[in-house]
Amino acid sequence: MIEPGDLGYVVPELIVLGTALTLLLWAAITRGDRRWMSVSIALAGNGSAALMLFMRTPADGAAVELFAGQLVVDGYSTFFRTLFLLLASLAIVFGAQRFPSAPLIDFAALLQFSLLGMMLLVGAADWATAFIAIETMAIPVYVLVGLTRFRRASLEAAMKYFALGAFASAVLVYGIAWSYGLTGTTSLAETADGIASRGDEPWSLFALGLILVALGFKVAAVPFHAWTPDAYQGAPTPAAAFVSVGPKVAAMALLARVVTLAFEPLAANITVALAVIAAATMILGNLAAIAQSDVKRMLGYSSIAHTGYMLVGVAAVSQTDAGADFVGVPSVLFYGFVYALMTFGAFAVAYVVEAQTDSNDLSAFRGLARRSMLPAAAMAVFMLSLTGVPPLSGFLGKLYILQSAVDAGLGWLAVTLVVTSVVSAFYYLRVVVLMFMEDEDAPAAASAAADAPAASGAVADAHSAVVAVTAGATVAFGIVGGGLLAWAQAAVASSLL
Amino acid sequence: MPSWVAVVLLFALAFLFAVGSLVGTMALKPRRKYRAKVTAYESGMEPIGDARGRHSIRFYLVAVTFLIFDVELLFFYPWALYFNMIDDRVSLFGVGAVFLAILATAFVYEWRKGALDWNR
Amino acid sequence: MTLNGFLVVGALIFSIGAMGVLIRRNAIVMLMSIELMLQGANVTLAAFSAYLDDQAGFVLVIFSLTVAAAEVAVGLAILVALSRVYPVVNVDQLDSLRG
Repeated sequence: MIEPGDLGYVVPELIVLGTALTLLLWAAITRGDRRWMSVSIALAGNGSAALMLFMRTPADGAAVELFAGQLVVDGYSTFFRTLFLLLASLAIVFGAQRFPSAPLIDFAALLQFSLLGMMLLVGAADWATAFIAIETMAIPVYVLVGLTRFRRASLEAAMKYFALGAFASAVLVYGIAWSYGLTGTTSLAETADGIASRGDEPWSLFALGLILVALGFKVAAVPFHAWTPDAYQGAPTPAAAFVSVGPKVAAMALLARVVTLAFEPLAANITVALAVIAAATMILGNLAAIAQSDVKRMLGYSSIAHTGYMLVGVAAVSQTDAGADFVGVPSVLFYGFVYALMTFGAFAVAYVVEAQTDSNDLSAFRGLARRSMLPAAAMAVFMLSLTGVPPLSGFLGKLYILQSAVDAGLGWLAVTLVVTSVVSAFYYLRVVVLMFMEDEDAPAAASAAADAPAASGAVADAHSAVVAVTAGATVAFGIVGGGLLAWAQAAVASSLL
Repeated sequence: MPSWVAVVLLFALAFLFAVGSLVGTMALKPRRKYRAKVTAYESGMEPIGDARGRHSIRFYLVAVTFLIFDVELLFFYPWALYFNMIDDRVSLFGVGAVFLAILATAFVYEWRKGALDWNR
Repeated sequence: MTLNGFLVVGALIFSIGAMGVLIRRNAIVMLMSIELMLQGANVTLAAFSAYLDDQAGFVLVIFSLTVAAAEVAVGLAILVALSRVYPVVNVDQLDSLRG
């Protein structure tokens, strides 16, 4: 039964649920321009949720189990919940730039529902919670992708994303069923005991394999990545920005918890499986990104490549006998945080170009620095950071991942990471070159810019703020990344892992 | 004779009878086709249109609406069963009320958005 | 019937559904196949739950049924919206997104 004290720990989630329902009701009963109201409700909710998050964090930093072991509040979940609240807030401001009133309020409500799922997912301590949370996160996102429902591309993207996502969910339930049957429990912590008593018998590996496949779909790892570029290209840009960072990082967080907690006894098998998947993901993602001419599609393949980098960290985590200065799980947390900010920022700039030229083609970036200097400078920061150029945060993230891979004895994987990063420089720097080195080829782009419907001043300012915040954070965490890493390490130290 | 042989014989006879009568008719029947004979039987009415016409897409929306609210009902069975076994009925009632309130919000949204309006 | 019987049935239903998703190109049939996969998983869950004499599996089945309903509702809604913009049944025709 529900303990009243338990509810106190989930106040942030309750606030997010409350804002989602408020937005739905508001959408239903009001008419007229509701853009300001949508943004205000969502931002106020997320702000107070973030405030409560820090007020209700257990004083001694220890993990607290809630609702008979269904949910856990620990440093790990608090780290990710902070990131998700930030991302959802950025996404709603971004959405205000893109959508008129009616779709915007739906966008905000769906965003809040998905945020609720993500926040519960990173705190899941039981397969039941994990499954419901992952679906609460995923189902609104299918709709977000298809939100511009008069555009065929958007609906196609939604259909493809939905079909593969639902397929993955079914595989996940089947894997959970087998894990439950083998261990007699749905608790993640107790699953480890059950698996340990069975050893690496084929049925345990079967259950693990099904769950890894399902989560592989959710994080877009090769060979389960096919939906990613289509979904990002077809989705309205704010939705693509959110999908490329939120659900992916949340699923990665669950994956890390699953391999370090529930299936910890099978660590040796997990390391091999994840290392192979990570290598394939890095290679294919980066090579395919080179051939893209659509910037959202390129960012889609880029996000696949970055899934590979994070998977290197998760693969290294399974190596339990690593040394004292082992970075391990915190490197994945760090990378997830900085990846989310820089990729989100890149989509935000892509939208600036889209609004100017009505095109997502890479050629639309030609001469962007002359047209609008600030977005171009920010895009350069994101591209260099995604490549991993010091002193930006993407460099530090890769450094920590590399360190944990080497510590775990996965030297060949570290080499793959470095080589594929060098390859990635080709397509990231191409954007920078287009923006700064090349003049606009024709006055056509300029006239298109003049015809484009100009967003009202305040909204455009807010969008510039999104770009500025993400770019600033990308630079700042590169220079003072130690602080973020220290937080990630403290988060992992005080968590149920 | 074991007792199961009777059952097997029954099924074998039933199967043979079904197949036999079908094959027998096919072999023996005269083949004469004219328009009145090949049209579908509609209780004496002249058949209109094609039996494989497409259903209006609206049926899917109604099906979807029904499906959601139908499945939510699933949660009320354990809730109702549990009601008599527990002392703290107030909080259990509260849980049910919150659940219904969330559903009601979704219903209001659906209604005001016109998803229940057939002529839209 | 023993536990194994139910597990085999669950595995068969799940694999038939998985094959359906991978082979059939009709969007509605794909939706139905995904439902089939979920039901296969549910049979497995219920079988284990009964065998272990434990309630957790049955509770998961109820949740999984609900999630399946929500999922298919969204899937059908996307299909309906798609059919308004572009009359399409086969997923092979969804080809406007190419690099």
